[in-house]
Amino acid sequence: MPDQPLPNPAEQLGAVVSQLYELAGNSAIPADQRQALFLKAHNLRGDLNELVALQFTNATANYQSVMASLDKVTAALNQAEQSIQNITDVVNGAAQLASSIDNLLQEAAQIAAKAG
Amino acid sequence: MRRSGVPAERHILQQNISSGFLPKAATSVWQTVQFISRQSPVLAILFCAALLLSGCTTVNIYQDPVSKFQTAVNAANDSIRPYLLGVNDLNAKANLYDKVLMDKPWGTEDLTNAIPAAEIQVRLQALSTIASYANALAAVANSKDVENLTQAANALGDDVNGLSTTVQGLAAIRTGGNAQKPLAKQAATLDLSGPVSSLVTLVGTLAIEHKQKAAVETAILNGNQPINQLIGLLKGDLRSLTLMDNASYASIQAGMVFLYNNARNKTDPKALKDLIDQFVQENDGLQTLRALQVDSLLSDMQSAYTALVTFAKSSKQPKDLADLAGQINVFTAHVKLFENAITSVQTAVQSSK
Repeated sequence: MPDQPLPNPAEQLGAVVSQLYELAGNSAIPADQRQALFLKAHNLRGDLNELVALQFTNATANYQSVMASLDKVTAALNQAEQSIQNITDVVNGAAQLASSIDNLLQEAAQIAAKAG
Repeated sequence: MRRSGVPAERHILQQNISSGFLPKAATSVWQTVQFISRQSPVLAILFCAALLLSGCTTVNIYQDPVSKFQTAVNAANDSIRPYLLGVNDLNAKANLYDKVLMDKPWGTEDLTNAIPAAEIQVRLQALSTIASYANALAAVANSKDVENLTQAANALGDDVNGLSTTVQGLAAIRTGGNAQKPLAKQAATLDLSGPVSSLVTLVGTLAIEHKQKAAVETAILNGNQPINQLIGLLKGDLRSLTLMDNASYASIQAGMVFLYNNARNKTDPKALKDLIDQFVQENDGLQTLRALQVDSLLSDMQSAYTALVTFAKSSKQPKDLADLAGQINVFTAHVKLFENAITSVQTAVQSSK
């Protein structure tokens, strides 16, 4: 029997990307921080387009790292919505998330190459 | 007591009338029987005997729901097609807005298709095959001569074989040179080979029966699993495309706000008003598209399809027919909403050009 697919990180990532764009549009945030948020939102949107095409059946360390990073950045975003003082946490969290997604995508590509 | 054969169907017809639900095709027959009964009981008996000999009541019970399902599937596919083709447009637009937001120059990479054309094509062909299957069911239910039935089966066969060829070709593309981009490996989420292979077998072995009702039942029951699988796979796939769309909307909205704020102090009131009107109209279209939930349309298609199969397997009591009609009506209503939303967005886009 084939393995049951795990939740695709793209589901949660979609919400993160939308929140990042929303926050980046907040005129109360300094221009340089908004630029940083736009950049993270753009890069993560690209990652989202790649992740939706994949199916995960194995909770590897890279997969777990992405899920943990998603939780972390989601919490930072929720906090930033209440108080815009913590933008740095969001930007750092988004950078960490992008890096963990890169690792997961590389792993997925290696698995696909072996299977092919 | 459970009845069987033609008298049982007539009993069902009577119950259908008292329940207020009667397939359109059966209404005129029943009214004719009532009229003749009032004029002459002997004539009525002869008329009923003629009906029984022709066997035409046996298929009437299927015609209305099957034809409604067929119409709804075709309408749903006509609306999903522009939605699918629009995913890449939205993504490209979001890329361009992103560059504006980040104060970076545009590049041709911003216009590259997020979903390769061949991947869109296989989805469109899968939708066409579902519609073709619905069309074949309706043709079988409505047709009296073998030639029409053969034509419908041939059309379904052509679509299934075409889809099968595309799926095989796509497998080569996905594992070949175009597979560097992870999106080209959409096979991971949309592998149609299982249901397509079953449908190829079905088309190869589908024998057209002389008794129409039996042919309809055979077609519905044999096509059940692969068509259901096909709808299920497309539903999951469209759900992931919705995630992409939603992220694109967020980018476009942020971009519109940014552009407006930049133009605010540099633009005359008339031009600013035009800009506001343009943004409001665009935002309206985005909100409409965002609310569409294309995957839930496929859920309703699947429910209606399942109800059709359940009905075919049932003893076809008025409740069974009412359940089927209810499920198909839900699907039809959802299709109408979807159609209207897509039309309103398309009209807005046309009028803004």
